[in-house]
Amino acid sequence: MVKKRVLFIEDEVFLLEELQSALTDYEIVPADSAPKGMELIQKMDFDAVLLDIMMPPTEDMDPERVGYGRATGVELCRRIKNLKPDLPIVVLTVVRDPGILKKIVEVGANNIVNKPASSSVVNDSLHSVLRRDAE
Amino acid sequence: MSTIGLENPPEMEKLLKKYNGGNIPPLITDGENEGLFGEDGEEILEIHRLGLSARYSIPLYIFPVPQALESPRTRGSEASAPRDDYLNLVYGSDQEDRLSYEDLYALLRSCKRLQFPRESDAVSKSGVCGCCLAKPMLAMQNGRPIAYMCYAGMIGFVVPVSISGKIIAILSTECKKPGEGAIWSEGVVEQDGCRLPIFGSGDQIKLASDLHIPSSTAKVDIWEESKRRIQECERILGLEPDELLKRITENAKMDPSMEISPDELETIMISRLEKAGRYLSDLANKTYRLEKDSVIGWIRAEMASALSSIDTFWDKIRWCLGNLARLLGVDYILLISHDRSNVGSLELQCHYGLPQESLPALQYNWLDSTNQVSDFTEKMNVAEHIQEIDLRQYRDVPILSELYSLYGKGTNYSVLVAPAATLGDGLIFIVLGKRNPVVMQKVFRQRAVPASVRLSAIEWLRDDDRQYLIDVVRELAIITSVFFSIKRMQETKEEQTNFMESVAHDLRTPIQNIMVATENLREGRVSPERASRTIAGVLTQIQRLNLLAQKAWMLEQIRLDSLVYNDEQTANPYSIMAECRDLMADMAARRSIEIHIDPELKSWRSICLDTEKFRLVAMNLIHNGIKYSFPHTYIRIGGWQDAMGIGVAITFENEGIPIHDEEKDRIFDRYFRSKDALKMDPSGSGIGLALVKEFVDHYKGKIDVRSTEIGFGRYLNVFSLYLPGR
Repeated sequence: MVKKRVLFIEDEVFLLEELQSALTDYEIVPADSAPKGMELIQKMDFDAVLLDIMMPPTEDMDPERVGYGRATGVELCRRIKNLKPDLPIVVLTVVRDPGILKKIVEVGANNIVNKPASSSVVNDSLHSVLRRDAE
Repeated sequence: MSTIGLENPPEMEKLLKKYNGGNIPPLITDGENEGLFGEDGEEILEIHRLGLSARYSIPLYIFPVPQALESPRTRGSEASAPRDDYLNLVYGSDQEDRLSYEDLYALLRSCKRLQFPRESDAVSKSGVCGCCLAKPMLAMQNGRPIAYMCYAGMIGFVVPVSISGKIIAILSTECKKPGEGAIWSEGVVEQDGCRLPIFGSGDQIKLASDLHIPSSTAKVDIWEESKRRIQECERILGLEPDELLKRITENAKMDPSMEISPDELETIMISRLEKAGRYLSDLANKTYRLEKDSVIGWIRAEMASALSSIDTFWDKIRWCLGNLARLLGVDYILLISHDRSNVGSLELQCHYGLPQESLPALQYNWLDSTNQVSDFTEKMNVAEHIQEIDLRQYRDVPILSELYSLYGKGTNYSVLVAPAATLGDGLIFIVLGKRNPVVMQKVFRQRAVPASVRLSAIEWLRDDDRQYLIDVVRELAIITSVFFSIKRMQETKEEQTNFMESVAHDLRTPIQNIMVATENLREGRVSPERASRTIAGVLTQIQRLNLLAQKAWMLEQIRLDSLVYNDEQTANPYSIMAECRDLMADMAARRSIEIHIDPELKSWRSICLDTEKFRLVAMNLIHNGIKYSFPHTYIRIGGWQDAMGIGVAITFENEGIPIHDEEKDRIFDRYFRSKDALKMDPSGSGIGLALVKEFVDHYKGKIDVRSTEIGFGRYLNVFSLYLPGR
């Protein structure tokens, strides 16, 4: 069986590596910054995206709008959905700010997983959005 | 007041109109304004008037004093200040109180300096002699009762009536109708607290008010009537015909403006006046106090309720000030806070009546350190009561000088300054502006009042209004202090919540990392070669947690004011730096950053300081270096030790994002994070450098930051830590 391909955008390199090892059901393509993630989205096809929220913003983002990085993932999510509206996105975040969480849902995130989460929770979450996608 | 939809209750609005600008309402109901004597005012006055006429055959008149002619407060000369209570004409209840012509003459003779009319004071067209016309003005200026003999041969009394130092009416006898008067036969009854004379007897008893006895029943030739009276006196006293008349007309050439000092009989007479007048006084004052207190009560209640909402606090206070200004008759009220920890700091907190265009000049925090500012604020700190100051005195004091240049030029502008808050850090002043002087001047020109009467609105504040002001200011002081403490508490609470949130937030990332990494190790998902790398990563994450825990603990101790330093410990700077480098090595390596310590440090002697906190400070500075440096750069730790081997200077260099000049002080503020730092690392609490500063301050050292561009948007940042040692 061909593994589903998931783009994982996360600036914590350690987590990027460890979660890549943990999520064995998927082909994880790591991106350690927002610009790298956007580059890969345009180049390759993915079945899902696993996305961090708090990351350094890209050059073309209005720093104030993304809270100087505190909501970079929200803008990223919006851009990905603009490019590929049907691509499921799972957000993995430490953010608990209801304002930001509401915005994430508004821009089309399919699932939110709160950090810290075990790899199996992340796995299940990806599984559920991919199955929903398949139906 | 529309900003928060605060409307005056209709009853309050009515009273505010009635008492507007320190006005004292009339005694008798006038149009929509109910008089101080209430609904029955006219009747009550009529009874008293008739009663007096009846007893002494002397008609009594009440002249309300126009507001513009009221006597200004003459401070410092208590003797001439009018008394607070009413002085009215007497009516007695005892039979022997009744004055006959004999009594009148006795009175006349015993008065050593009884004032006599001039011949020129002919009977005026109104039927009142010039003497009787002039005396009310004299009484008003002197502010006390006067007894005199008028041109018509009548003994006259003028008595000023005042409320709280302000003459509102003159009670006066007049020679207009020297009629026979009514007769008291049965004395006086008490009715509703009012003493009413009774006419007739038995079934015929009638109250004066029922009789509607007119005050003037017939036209009388006053001169003829006077002569008749004087001749009667001569007859009774067995004098030669015209002897008394001659004396009166001779004496009439005396200076009429001379004041009469009451002798014994006059004193008796006036004491009776006072006794009887107390009734009227009580009646008017009761209403006056009740109504004015209720307006002040509304203001105070609203002032206290302002605390219920921090957001609308100043709006409500402004509403209160507005109504207070209307009530007292002042144009502007300003609330200025003074930060005691900062001598020259004056800040406009709230204002009423200032025109929009003058606000920009006043509405910012004034900082000034001139002598006059401290002189002014010191004076306010010790003052207990409101005091009058001349604005020109304080032309160097910001806000006050602005006020002077905006409103005070060309006028004698004095303001009231009240130290309002004696609690907490902030000191509030209330500055009261003038009542519109243009209007007042116009009135004075028309009335030809002496130029000696000054045009300062503050002087026009009556004693009771001053007292109201002091009371309100005191209360406002307490309320404002409470407001400031609530606000501080709220800020502290927010700060605490923010801190807890940021700690919780910062905990989640390393926990997440450790969780997945250990799962991988447990499940054998990583190769043995990679396992050591994973374990090193986990240790780094634990190091992050440890640093965070130490930071949070130290911050909490600072907040609780219970931070303790172990100053007796000794630390070798090199070993501490090396320890930190090793702990951070993996974290640095992941960002391709190398930490380099100058080997020179090895030769340093150990220094005396709290080792654990020193380690935390070093970790913070290195951790910042890692977070905000560009990859493939160095963090260099160097410095020097003084010749004595006590003091050290340790430098931490990194290459990364800039620290702008305007941020150099702020980066040491708790929770502050520069925009560049946020963009580079959106997580983080912004407490690290605040703790470094605390440490440096404890050891009376210094921390210095330099940021120099070295090309391609790359900056060399140097944090220099000076610890003088002990």
